[in-house]
Amino acid sequence: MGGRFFRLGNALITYALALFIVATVGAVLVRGVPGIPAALKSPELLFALRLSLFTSLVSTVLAFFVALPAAYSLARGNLPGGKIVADLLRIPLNLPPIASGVALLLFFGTTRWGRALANLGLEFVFTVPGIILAQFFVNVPALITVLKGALETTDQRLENVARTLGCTPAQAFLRVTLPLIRNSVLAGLILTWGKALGEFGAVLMLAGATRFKTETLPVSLYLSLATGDLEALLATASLLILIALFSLAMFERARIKLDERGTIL
Amino acid sequence: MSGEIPAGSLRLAGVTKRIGRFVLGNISLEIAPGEYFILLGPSGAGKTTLLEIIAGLHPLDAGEVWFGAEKVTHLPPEKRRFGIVYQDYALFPHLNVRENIVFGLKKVAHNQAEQELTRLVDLLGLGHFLSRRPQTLSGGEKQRVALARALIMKPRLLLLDEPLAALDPQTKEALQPELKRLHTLTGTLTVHVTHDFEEAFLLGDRVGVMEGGQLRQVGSPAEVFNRPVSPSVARFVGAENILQGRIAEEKGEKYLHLGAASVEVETDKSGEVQFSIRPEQIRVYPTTPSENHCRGKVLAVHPKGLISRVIIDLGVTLVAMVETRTWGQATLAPGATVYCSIPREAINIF
Repeated sequence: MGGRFFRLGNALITYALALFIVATVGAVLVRGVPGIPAALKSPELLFALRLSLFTSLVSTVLAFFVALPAAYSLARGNLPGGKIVADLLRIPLNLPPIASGVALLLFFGTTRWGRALANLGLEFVFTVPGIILAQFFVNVPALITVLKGALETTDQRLENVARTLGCTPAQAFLRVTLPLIRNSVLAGLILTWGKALGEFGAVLMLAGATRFKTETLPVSLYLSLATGDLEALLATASLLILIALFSLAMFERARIKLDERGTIL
Repeated sequence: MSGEIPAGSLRLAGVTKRIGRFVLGNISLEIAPGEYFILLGPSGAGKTTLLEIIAGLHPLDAGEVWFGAEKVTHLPPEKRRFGIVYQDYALFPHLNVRENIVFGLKKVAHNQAEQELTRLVDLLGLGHFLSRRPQTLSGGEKQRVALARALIMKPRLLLLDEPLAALDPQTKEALQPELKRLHTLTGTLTVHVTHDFEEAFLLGDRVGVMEGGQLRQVGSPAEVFNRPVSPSVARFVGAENILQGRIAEEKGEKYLHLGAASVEVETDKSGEVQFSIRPEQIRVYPTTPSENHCRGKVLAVHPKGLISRVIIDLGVTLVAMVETRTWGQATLAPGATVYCSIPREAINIF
């Protein structure tokens, strides 16, 4: 009898949580979605949407090209001090994004390094490159984790064989290992992109919230809240939620494909 | 090292590699061109690591690797042209059989590649599988694909890592002669890693026994089988009777005393020695055929088909293999009295 109550209790809590999420998110969508067509005529929201898409895509691509080599050297376990490095790379993952933003602001705004970069034309404080950098900084550890996990499931010996068949290490990786983890790569990229699009805290600290300059969708939402523009706020929030749902669906699709391959193997 | 180096030979000189706490120690070995060499040893002996070192997959801590007159110690694997086949074949799961086989070929010589593929596919009987994925193949089929993938590159030497270990007994029996045939056909120097002594005996021109990262003995299969150099090698090649005894000299002849028996031996050693005797070389009879036999008592009998493993107390405990058919009416059971003879060539003094 006890087992039945236990299962029933678990099930009820699960359903209740799901219902709660649907209710809250749904409430925004119900009130916000009808306002989206009108909102999309507003130049400010269009600017924010475009800026958000641009910065999130660029930061995702950058994150990928940094995370892949990092994940590879960590996964293959031949990096001196690899364990410590892996822990260091995880720091931004557990930091509140707003604290990451403070760290970035301090580094680029006040240190000699930051000023040197600014003198070279790489200005990050209160600029669009700052948005990209903040998204990159917050998201790259998660992408490394996803890619590292995928790489750890691949067999080093496949690359060994490829080497004896004439491949350089890079060719062996590109021709054998990368195709084998492509679904994880895809899933990781979608996840990263979705998170970059919604990144607020770090972006706000480093790039600020200047209308028509560093106004991404989440920043726009924040500004609408500050000015009490409820209609714009709901439309923007709905837009963000829809994009998130879309990327979640894509992520699940990629993961399912991965599982299917797993069962065949 | 002095003397001529034959083209197409493989020479390891003082090869040393530390991986974590495992040390592959100071291995020197010369393998003749076209030779089928078996690396034999228990798991964890470092056989696969040594194979990967030959392939160029691990940088060495010390030592040199030579192929003929070419020093390949620092040559990356892609430039060595040494083929490798792993135990579970390591086929590329995202490619079909055909794509797996031609993986290493350059696109340029397309016609030639096609010919080469056809030749190997015929040779290995892979015609029906070309468009299949590796996951759908049986162990034996995967093995052939892995061999074809290595052989199509016309490797200068072939490295086989436990190529038969993952197969069921029937497939294994069918593939052993096939490996021999391929070797005869291609004449490629082959290094074959295994922990199975029968496989070594069947396929190897020579056998190197590895243990704990060391190469303990190199010789013909018969040599290693009958004359293991140490108790641990003896144990590994199935010479189960590893004993201690005393050599005594009588009238210029040397005798080894073991229990109640004494056997004439030829050796330059004297005093306390350690030695091994293969169980199948001990002859066991129900009655004494001559005076040179010593009496013993059967402690246990473990039937294994036509042959029984018999434990006998001769003052020392010995394991013998007895062909039960030759016993006729006599019973071979615990408690029975038997007579044993040990030929002098059966005694291998370390």
